[in-house]
Amino acid sequence: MRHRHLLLVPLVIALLCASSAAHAAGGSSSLVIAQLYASGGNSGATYANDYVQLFNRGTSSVDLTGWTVQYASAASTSWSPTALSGTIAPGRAYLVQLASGGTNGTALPAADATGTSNLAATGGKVAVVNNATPLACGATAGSCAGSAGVADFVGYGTAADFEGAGAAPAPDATSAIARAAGGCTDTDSNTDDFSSVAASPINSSAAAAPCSGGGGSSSAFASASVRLQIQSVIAIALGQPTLDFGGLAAGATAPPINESVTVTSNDTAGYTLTAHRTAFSPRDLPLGLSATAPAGGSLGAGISSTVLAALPIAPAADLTIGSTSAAAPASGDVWATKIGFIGPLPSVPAGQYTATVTYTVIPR
Amino acid sequence: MRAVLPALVVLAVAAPASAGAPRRAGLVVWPARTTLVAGSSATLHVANHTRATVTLSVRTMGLALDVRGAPRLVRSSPGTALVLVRTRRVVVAAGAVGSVSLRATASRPLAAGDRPALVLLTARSAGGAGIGVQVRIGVPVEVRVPGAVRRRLELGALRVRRRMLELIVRNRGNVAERVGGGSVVVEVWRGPRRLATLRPRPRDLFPHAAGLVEFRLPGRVHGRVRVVAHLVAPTSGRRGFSVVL
Repeated sequence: MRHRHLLLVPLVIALLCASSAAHAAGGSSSLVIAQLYASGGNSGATYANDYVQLFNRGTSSVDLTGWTVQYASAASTSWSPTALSGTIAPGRAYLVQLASGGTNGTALPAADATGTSNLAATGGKVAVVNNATPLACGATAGSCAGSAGVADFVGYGTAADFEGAGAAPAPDATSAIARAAGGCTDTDSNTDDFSSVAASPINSSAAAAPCSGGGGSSSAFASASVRLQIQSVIAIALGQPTLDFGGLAAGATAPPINESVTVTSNDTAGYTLTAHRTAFSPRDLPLGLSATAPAGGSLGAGISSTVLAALPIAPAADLTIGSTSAAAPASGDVWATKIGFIGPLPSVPAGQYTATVTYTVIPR
Repeated sequence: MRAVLPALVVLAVAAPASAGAPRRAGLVVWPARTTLVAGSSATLHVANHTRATVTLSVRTMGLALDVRGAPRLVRSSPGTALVLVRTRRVVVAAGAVGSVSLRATASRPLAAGDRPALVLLTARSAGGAGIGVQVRIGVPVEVRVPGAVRRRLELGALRVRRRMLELIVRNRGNVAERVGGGSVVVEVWRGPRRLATLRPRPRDLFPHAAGLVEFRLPGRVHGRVRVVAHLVAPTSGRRGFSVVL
């Protein structure tokens, strides 16, 4: 973690579950509900939508054609299905975006399926079913877990039905409930398998995290999974805020002035650094820029470390100084630029000439 | 408008930048990119680690990506008009943290999906003799109009450029995709022997757009080979090519 100091700041820490997989029940499905969030869009919500995150804890892909995620309120036996599609590879997540209760919170990662079920924050029941027929169970404890087609089932909060000894805890505005060991633990007991964590949804594009030994295997050790959500950060710093060439005569050749630009970004796709300038007042003078790229950076077309390239005058498109395609080191990328005049100064009336050079950085 | 401006000035609260702000030199902005559901709001934070008070002007612009995914500032893109900046001007004292509130409008029905925009923060030059130097930070914003999400990538042609394989990938879905090693990989084969498995430089692909995904070739691979591109997520697929390296 090269950016530990940078990254530890704007984070939401979620930690979960120390869990023992020693109680894995026989007959548990490889496809499970790994995380559930029910306050989407509500006041103080972290996310704008409710979601159910599925996880394949098994060792082979699961074809979701015809499958549904179904929801019923705490005591109800009336279920609303959301259709699923595609496949889930082993160790992969699958994000189902559901309804929003308001306008608060940020968007979920791109969902793999969407539905309109509005999960109650205080209690409810969610099932993963291998067909599209609405369930009819859920009034009493244990009534759904054995129903035909139910691959996994979670009753949370005030739910009348649940797997095992009790319901999972209820999530809140900033917390989801999550299955222990990153989704790998399934003892068929909602109260044991789930705990409250900071909501941290992921979709099928997230890196695979297969369960060691395959889903449902027993082990004699306890494990803890730690999850951080790290925000993207970008920073830019200049070596000096003004560049003063002093007094120059017409026809003089002034040496360029160094201006270092330090950029820090934790975006793994990198960033692009560009520049433009205003025209000199009272009359324009030909200003240019050269640059040396930091390690891992590449210079833009027409930029070199030895020859000054003309700096465009806004609103013309910026000159691309260079770009990176990876996160910057903790100390930042230092772009050593030089600002100077392209050729001897033209013959212009005496006076003070000023302009502004602007450096722009945008994450890729 | 001039009369309104003072009311929009937000003097940063005197929270020290060390309280929750990343420790970097200069101006620090986070999050560096964000996704806003239409009708929702978000806050950008700006820490001033310079020695002087900084005045920032904030405005919405357009964002485009070139064929290799490099961002380009443009006047307008599909999400520009949907992002409202509540704070047009922010004054952040040295060592303090300021904030910028954004809101995505939902005034008219739009098709579901993502629309790109850019929020541009410009630190005004302090002025003085000589050439003033100022900085801008662009924060990409995806405005997500709720509705059915379609995620679908497709593989296109492959070409070799210097020691780089360039694969065309099309985003046929309606949300922006980050195309990286979790999305597509290529394998380089000679006969029955796999010479290399390559992961791309990550890049973004806007909805309904196509672009080049780049894979750096290892120096040892030369001659005629078979390249197999595998699409892993969000959709699966594969395509084979015969190329000379």
